[in-house]
Amino acid sequence: MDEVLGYVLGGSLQEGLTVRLQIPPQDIQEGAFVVMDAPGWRFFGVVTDVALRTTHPRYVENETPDLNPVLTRMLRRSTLYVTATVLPVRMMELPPDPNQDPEGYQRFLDEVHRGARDLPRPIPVKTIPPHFAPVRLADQGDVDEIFGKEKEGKTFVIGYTREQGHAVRLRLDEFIKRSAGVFGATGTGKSFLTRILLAGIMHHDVASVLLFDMHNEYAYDRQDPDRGVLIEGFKTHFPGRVRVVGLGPAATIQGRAPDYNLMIPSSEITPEDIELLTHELDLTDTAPVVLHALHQEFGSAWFERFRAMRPGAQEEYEDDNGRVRTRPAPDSVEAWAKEAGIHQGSAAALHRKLRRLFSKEYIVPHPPVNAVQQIIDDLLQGLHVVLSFGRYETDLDYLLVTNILTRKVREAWVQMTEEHRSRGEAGEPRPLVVVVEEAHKLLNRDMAVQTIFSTIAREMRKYYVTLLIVDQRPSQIYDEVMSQLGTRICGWLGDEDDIRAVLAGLANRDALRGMLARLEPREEALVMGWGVPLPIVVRTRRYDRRFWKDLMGEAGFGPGPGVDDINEVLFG
Amino acid sequence: MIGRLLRSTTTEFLVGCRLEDVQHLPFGALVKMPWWGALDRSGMVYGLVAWMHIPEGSMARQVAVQPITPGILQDQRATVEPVEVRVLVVGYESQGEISHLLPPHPPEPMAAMHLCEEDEVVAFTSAGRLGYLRHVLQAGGDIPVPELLAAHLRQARLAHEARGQRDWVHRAVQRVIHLLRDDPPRLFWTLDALSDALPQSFTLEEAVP
Repeated sequence: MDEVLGYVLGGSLQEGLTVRLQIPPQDIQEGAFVVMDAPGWRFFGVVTDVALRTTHPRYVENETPDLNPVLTRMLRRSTLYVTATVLPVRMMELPPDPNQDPEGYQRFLDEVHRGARDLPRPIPVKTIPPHFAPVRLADQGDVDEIFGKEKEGKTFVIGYTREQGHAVRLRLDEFIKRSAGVFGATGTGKSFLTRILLAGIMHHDVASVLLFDMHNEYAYDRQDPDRGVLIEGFKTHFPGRVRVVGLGPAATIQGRAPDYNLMIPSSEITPEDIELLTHELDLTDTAPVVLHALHQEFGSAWFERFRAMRPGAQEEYEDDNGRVRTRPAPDSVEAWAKEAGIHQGSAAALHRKLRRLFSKEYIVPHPPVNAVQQIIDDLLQGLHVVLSFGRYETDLDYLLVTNILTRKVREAWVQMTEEHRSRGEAGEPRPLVVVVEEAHKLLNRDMAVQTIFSTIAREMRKYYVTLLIVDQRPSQIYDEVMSQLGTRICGWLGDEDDIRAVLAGLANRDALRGMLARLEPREEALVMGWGVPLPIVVRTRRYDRRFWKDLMGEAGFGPGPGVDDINEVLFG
Repeated sequence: MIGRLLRSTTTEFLVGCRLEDVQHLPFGALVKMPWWGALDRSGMVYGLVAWMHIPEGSMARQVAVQPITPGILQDQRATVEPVEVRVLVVGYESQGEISHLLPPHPPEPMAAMHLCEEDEVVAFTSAGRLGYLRHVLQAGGDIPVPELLAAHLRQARLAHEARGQRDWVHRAVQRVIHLLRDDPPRLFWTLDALSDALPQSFTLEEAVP
C-alpha cells in the first residue's frame, strides 16, 4: 500500500510533474490516482502519461549484440528508465507528526478545538511538491479524503479505482446541486450507470427524480436482450416511493398498468412548444406568424380551436347576380385566415402539418384528472416519477411532452422558491433532478435556446431543479449547456468531436482527452468536471442483484422502507 | 619486494624492476608501497600496474639479426636496464583504514613495491563503495583504460569468487556503468573489453543490489 512508485524529478503546475518510476511501466496506468508527500503538505494527482526514457539516446539507438548478455542487461537497467507525468490537482495541509513533534501536534489539536483553525481539507492545488518527493498510489484513506467518506454526508460508491479497487464515492448532495451528464457511446453501460446514480439518489433521498423514460426501461423489471439477465426496475425496489406514469390513455408499460396516466390538456400547449417541433413537423418559416395569430385570437384555447377548423371546407352561396359560387366555409381554416389577415396557404399548411399532433390521444381538451398537477404534487412530496412513453416512442412525442411537463414542473418550483425567499419560511423546496435521455434531441444547438432545459442548466441550483442528461452524442449538445454541467461521467467515446464536447470548459483537457480515449469500452468511466474534486477513472459498479443488496444494506442515511413500501408489498 | 620507486606524482608512480621479476607482475595487478610521510611508516599507497616498458638492451640491435644462442639471451638479460613500471595510484591505507581517495603524499623515493596478496586485493577492492574505479577511469596519457580495467576486474573477480563473493563483480560493473553513463562511446568501449574479461558462463543470478 505504501510502496513508493517513484520520485518527483521536475515539472510544473501547468504541465504536470515528471516522476521517475521505480516500477515497470505495466504496473501503472494512465488515470491512476497518486499521492505525493512533502513536508507539511500532501498532494493528490492523476497520472496522465507514461513515457520510456533513456539517459542518452545512444543507449537505445545502438544495438550491443556482441556484449556479454549480462552486461547488456545491466547497461539497460542503468540507462533506461520510465517516467510518469502526474497532474497535481489537490493539496492538503498535514498536521505535525505526533511521533516526531508531539508538541506541535498538540498545539495543532488545541487550535482546532478552539476553532482557531479548521481541520485540513483538500484544496485546489496552488503549488507543487519539491524535487524527489516520494510518489505512491492512493490508498482507500486518500480516496475517501478526496471523494468523501462513508460516514460523512450522503455519499455513494459509484465505482472502484482501476489499480487497487478502492471504492470511489460521490457526494450525492453535492452532485445534485448542479446539472450533470452521463455520456458514452452506445453499449458502454451508460444507462446502467444512470440507473446506479438514480438508485443512489433515491436510496439516500437527496432529491426527487423526474425521469423521462422514452423506451420504457426504468420502471419495471425487464429482460436484458444482450446479456439475458433480468434488469430490475425502480418500482421493484422503491415500490412506495416511485410513481410510474404512462403517457396516453390506457397505457401499459411492460405489460403492466402504470400508477396513473398522463393526459396533456391542450390548453397547456403554447405556440413556442410547436415552434420547438419545427424540424419534426417540417414547419415552414411562416408557421410562427400563423401560430401567434392563433394564440392572439383564441388564447389558450388556440389548439382546440385550430384542431376544430376544417381545412379547405367550402360553402356555396349565391352572388349578387344569382349565380351559385363557392367560398371558404365559416369554420374553415381559410375563412379564419382571411379574417385574421393571414396568408391562407400558410394557415392551411400549418393545419396540415399539425395533424400529427391533432391525432395524439394524449392531448385532450379536458383530461379526467389533472395528471400534470399530480406529478408535481408527487414530486413535491418526495416521490419519484418515471414517465414512460409507452407506445409513443417518436421524437415528436418525446420533445413535446418533456418540454411541456418540465416547464410546468419548473414553474411550480420557481414559485415555491420565490415564496420561500420572500417570506423566509423554513420549508425549502425539495431538490429535483430531471433526467433526460437522448438529451441531444432537446439540447442541440437549434433547440437549446428554445427549450426549458437549457434554462434549467443555466440556472443551476437557483430554483432547486437540476438536470441529469444522458446521451451518446455529446457533440450534438449545445456547448453552453455542456459547460454548465458540474459533474460529467463519461464512458468510452469513439468520436473525436464527442470527446472534445465532453471536455468543453474543463482545465487540463489534453490530459483528460487521452484518458477518455483509452477507456475500456465497457464498465469504465471517467468522472470529471468542476463538480468533482479530481478527475478519476473508475471501474463502475455493476447494476445487478448484488448492487441492490449492497445498496439496501449500505450504511446510508436514506429512509428505510416506509409504511407505503410495506403496504405496497403486502397489499399490492 | 618486486621493484623500487624511481619517481612519483600524486596520481602515478614509476618503479624500476628487474626483468626476471616482471613475470610475477601482471598488467592490472594491485601493488602497494609505503607512503612517504606516514608517521608510523605503516601507511601504504595502492596502485594498479598500468604500463610497462622494457628498455632496449645495450647490444640488442647487433644481436637481433644474428642466430640467438642461450648465451646471448643470458647476456642480454644481465645487461638490460631495469624495466619501467608505471603504477596508477588508486588509494591508500593509513592506521589500518583503507581509503579510495588519493594519498596525502606520494611514496618515498626508493620505496619498495610489493605485489598484493589475494586477501589484500579482496580487502582493498571491497572497502568503501568501489570509489577507486574513478581513478582507473580517469587515467590519462597512453594508459589503455578499458584494457586495464578488464585485466584488473578479471583478477579481482577470481579473488572474490574464491571467497564466495560472487556479486562483487556485478557491483563493480554497475559502478563502471554509472560512472561512464554520460559518455556512451567510452562506456560501450569499456563494456566491450569487460565482455572479453568475463567468462561466457557469467550470469546474473546474483542480482545487483
